[in-house]
Amino acid sequence: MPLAVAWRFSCSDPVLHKCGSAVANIHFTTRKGQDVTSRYFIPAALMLVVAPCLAHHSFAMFDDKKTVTLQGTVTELQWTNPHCYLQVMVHSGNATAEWSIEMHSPLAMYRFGWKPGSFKPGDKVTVTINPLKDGTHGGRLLTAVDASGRSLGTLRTQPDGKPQS
Amino acid sequence: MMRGAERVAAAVLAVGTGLSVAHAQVQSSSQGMTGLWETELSVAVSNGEVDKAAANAPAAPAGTPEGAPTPGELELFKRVQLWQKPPYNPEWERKVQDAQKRVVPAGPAQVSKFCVAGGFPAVMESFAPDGMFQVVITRAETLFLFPDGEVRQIYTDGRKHPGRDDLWPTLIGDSIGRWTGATLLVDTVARKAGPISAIPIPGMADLSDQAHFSERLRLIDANTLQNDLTIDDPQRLSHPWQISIRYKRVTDVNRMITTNCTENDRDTVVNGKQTIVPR
Repeated sequence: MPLAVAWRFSCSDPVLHKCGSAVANIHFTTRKGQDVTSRYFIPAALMLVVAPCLAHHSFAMFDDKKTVTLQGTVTELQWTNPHCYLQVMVHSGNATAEWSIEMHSPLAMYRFGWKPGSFKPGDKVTVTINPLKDGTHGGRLLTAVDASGRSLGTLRTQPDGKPQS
Repeated sequence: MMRGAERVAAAVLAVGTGLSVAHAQVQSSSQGMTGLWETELSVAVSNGEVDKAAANAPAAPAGTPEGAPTPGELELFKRVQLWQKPPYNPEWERKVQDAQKRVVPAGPAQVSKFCVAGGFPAVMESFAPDGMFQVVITRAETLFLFPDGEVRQIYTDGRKHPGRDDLWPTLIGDSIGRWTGATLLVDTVARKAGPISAIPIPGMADLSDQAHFSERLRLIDANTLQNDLTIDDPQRLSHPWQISIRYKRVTDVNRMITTNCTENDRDTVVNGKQTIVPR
């Protein structure tokens, strides 16, 4: 099961990971092997479900109620685990900023119709994303359309229900 | 029982390869199970069905903490059978209730992540779009290979579980199996005590290292594999917990592609908010 990185919650009770609506302790180990514990409020409605998601972490960091479309130039397609990233330079007025667009793992993206060479540096691209909630230049990819109009997404089906090409 | 055609195929296979008829019978009857599989839940996630089902979910209430799951994730977690509450016995149910009374006061929002294997039985019910596994069948054992490198080795050479002095709990447990026709029966013990996967969350089933797992795997059709899983834990459950997981054959890739969690991990927390590390 490729849930290699995840949330880890437990209650104050060391033997039972079952909580009511309250605060759970979060235990995790840093890459240097340090054990860290912090506290996290979990409302009752979410008690049973605060958890890892889709291969690496929750998508709660992205605003799924907001969709942003960006036009820019690809600087890099990072074909990497645990996530692929499409790096896009976006010009807005006199300002230029590089956006980091997060996707799934290479295995998942390959099955969504992507390949390591789907986008190359310099390619024009229009991306539709759920932006990061913290306001920095990043988001979760929904679709990426190249100059020829070819669209790639993060599902095995296109919006019309047909399989990804 | 082997059907007539399967017996003929086994005999042909035995003659053609020099294998024993018994070996060939196993290969013939079980060969349909070899290959790549993923849960029906992974298929639903990958097709957008889960997000679609959550599309009309109400907005998160005011005060929902940073990092709370999305509606799509909430919908998803309701569908993971192993993450539902098991039939605890009265003693363990009481501990559940006591734990609820001992939660600590509210603190600042924080998020975290770490790198760990899923372990058994969680590996058998992945919901991720990259959660497929490969079944490899030999006479001596059947292997379940997972993208993150985890392996379930199910010994079918007639051995028993190791004796008490030679066995200790691990995340993946100790598995032995036998074929009855095209059905693989698996018996697993010595699964490390604790939450049912290595990703413990509030409400997740929590088992002792005396838990006993019985699986019955068989093809429903050429592209559907069913795993009837029974979990018994005399220390914590009032009666056996039974679930049934279905897998679909993976047809759009023909090889295992690995995953890992450290190659290019750019997710982090800055000022209490999850974000992506700039390139």
